[in-house]
Amino acid sequence: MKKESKKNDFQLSPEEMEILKKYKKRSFLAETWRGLRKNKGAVIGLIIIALIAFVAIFADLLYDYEEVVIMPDYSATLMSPSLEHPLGTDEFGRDVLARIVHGARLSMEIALLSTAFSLSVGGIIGAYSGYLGGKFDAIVMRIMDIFLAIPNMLLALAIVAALGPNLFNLILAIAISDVPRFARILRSTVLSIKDSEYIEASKAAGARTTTIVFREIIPNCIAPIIVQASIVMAAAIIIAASLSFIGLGVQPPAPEWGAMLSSGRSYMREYNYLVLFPGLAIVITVLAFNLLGDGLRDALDPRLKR
Amino acid sequence: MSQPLLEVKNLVKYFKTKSGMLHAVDDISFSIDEGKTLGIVGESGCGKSTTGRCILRLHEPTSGQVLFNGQDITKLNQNELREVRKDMQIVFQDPYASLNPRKTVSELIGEPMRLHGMFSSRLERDAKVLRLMDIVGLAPRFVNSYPHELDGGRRQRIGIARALALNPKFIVCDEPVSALDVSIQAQILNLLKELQNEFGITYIFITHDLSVVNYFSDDILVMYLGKMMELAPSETLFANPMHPYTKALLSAIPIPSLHNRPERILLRGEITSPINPPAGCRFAPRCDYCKDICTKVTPDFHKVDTDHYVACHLYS
Amino acid sequence: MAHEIPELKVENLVVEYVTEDAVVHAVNDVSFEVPKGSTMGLVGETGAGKTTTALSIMKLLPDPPAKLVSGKIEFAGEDIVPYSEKQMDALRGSTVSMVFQDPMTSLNPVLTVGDQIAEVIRRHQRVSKLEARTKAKEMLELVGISGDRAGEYPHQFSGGMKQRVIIAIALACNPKILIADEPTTALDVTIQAQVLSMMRDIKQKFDTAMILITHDLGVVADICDTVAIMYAGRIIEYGKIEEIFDDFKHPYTEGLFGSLPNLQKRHEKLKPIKGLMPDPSDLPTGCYFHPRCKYATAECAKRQPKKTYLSDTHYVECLAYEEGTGVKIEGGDIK
Repeated sequence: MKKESKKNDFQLSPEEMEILKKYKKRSFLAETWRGLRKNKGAVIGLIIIALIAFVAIFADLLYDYEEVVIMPDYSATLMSPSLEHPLGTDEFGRDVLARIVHGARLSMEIALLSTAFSLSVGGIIGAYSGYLGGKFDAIVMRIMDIFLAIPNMLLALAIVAALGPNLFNLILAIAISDVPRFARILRSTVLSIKDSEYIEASKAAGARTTTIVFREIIPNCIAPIIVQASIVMAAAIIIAASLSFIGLGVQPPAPEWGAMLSSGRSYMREYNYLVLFPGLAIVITVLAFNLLGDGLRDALDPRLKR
Repeated sequence: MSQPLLEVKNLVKYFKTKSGMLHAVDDISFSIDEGKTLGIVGESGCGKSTTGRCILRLHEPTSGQVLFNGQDITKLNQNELREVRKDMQIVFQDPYASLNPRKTVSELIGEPMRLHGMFSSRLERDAKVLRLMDIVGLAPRFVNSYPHELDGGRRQRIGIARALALNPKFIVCDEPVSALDVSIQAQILNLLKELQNEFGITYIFITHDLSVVNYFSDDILVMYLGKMMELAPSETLFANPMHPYTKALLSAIPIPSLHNRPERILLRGEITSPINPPAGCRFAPRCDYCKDICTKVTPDFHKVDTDHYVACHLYS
Repeated sequence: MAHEIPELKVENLVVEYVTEDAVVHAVNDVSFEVPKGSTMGLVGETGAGKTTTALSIMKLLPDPPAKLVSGKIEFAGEDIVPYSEKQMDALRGSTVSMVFQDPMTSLNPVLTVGDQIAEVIRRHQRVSKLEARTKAKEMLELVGISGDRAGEYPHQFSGGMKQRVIIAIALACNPKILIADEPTTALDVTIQAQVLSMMRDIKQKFDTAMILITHDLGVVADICDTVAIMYAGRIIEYGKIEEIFDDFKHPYTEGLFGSLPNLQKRHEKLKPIKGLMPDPSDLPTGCYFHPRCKYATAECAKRQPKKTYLSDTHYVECLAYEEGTGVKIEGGDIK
């Protein structure tokens, strides 16, 4: 042991400054990226999602919503893919690519909003349940179990059927059906963290309850939440498409992918691209979210790194 | 004689379980003078860790008193407790579980100081963190590493630096070396001893490893199923163990030498359940000297010699 | 050492783990033999390659990533390295058995312990179910558990009892070779003493060749006849138990003993080894131990030491014992 350490003034020496600068803390994002980079599937997923998000954000610049996406053009109905219409046109003569691009915006909106809602509601319920335990936990979790016993799709269907089919109700329906999922995940995470030794260590160091919740518990919940969120978003896109397909989701003429599939169904034999391309859009997007979710699960677990 | 730094009086901790009351710690009393080390030994389930946690009130004791500098810790409210915890720290057994995986070394070591607002600026705190890292022998390049990037020995050093951060008078070491390899174990034991010599820290050293406790402690308390069996200065305990359990425990230590090997006393059976234990001596079902009275009356913990206490009917 | 064929002989064993990022050199040229009725202690710290060595002998290495690069493993003179999985299945449990460290996870929770023992017997011997059951009860009695408990499930047993059951399973077909990987590490000292004394009795009764893997020199002193000290995948010192305990020669062995508190001299300061075990994917040049060795010279970084025989049975891998290297050991506990 070096005795020079017994200095009592706490000023950093130049060498120590140097050390602090050299071994800087790596940020959460940088760390995650480092882990994610190794997983090819996740990187591909991330690129696809970035592309879709980009297209969704700038959809209006690419194709005018009113003119191209909604307005029928009876002079150009059911045209096969060509240079002018790379993915062909539908039965009203609207460009399929334009509709898929604007459909991406809708899908992303639904996925993001419904997940944000279910995450915040489910997260709070789950966190409280886990932290408080006892009767509150027992009652709340049994209610969640009841919800979980009903298939997601069926639950969403029932809610939309009750409230009426429109975009807002669709988002709400999907969100509600996902609440128990987040509640479960958060509860089990909080439970495992709550009794861990580092919480005790923090208590011994003099931490108050709020400090423990915000500094110890929440940061350790982020990883499973992000992973779950990416998977739930994929599921949300599927449910939205399915509900729209059976006419209970987004209503025509809005270019929702599921709705496009539904209307293309009647022309499937001769004009298969009408179902092929929206179908592909759904598959690729869902796959991308799932790939990313899997990659994140590994990248965010500090114990798996090295 | 001056007042001991820590005095534990009739400490009791029961846990409610589905099948009944688990008597984890049952009527424990002892005291430690400043700068000394008390070793608590016993096998799994004897309540040694629970005792350590009750002293810091990481578990709320069911009853009993814990006097630290004459102040009863069990009566303090949250804010008063926070103040006292500056002086009382703990080093945990598992350096994997006791460090938040999302914090860097400097955040972990700096946390107690941040919580108590010891420094106004981040830079001052960083300076102190680096000093602490130096004291426990951690190279400064690990300052912003995450615990999972380090091996067990280094992690345990983080745990120790963190416990030292508030300049405590008293540290509970809960099996601080049992998760480590022998060569690393010795490094950590030496470090803890040096810290005691340099800063006059008082330790409770909890372990199942008798050779470690012998090396480390002034006094040793032997526990079995939540009860005190024997308490004596280390040398006395090893030279003249009185309780049949202590004797068996000492004889069971695997000695890394081919000479001076003691006669093994093999105990019958295994530890009985700590849930709703019957009256009488807890050790009676495994004891070779068990008499009628042993299964009926709980033996007193009484003095048999200077500083030598034992709970056994053989000596009353 | 010309004598009868040993029950187990390992020659120049090299095992690597090949991963995307690196090649982990887990076992680097290990040789030893264990004759009938003898017990060898394989001692070392985490990452020394003890368990990898054991798994290679069982041919249970996960491949990939593990790869048996070279070497011979002979059971009674027969090299099993080229054996097929099917041939190994016939050997495992009958000729060679292994006891794992963790008694909590090594037993199947949904089968009674009697059935688990009987299953092993029936896999290797043509006996009726009834005979196998009777034998299972005998095995339980042998390890000190009442035969009446054969119908109970693992969760009804305590840790020490489970470890006994596991040993009973391992011994059920009278294996010629028994590998015990830290069999008592998870147990309390008094229970450990019980299990060790039981293992000693059994060893005498069956004349099994045994390898005891442990980090605890106290356990070795209790039960072993020969000791191999492993460091970074090499056996750096090997000898009869007296030769190692009373007359160790390697600085690492010295460090291991110096790290242990001495019950007799309690105020003597511990003399730990400085530094850490090297990363097996990035081993130092020369002697693997030289960065931590207090006697190391420049020479030690240049050349890997060869085996130097100090007696018929005692060898050490350290340049200090080779002629003309100029490396000296002075001032330590080495006599």
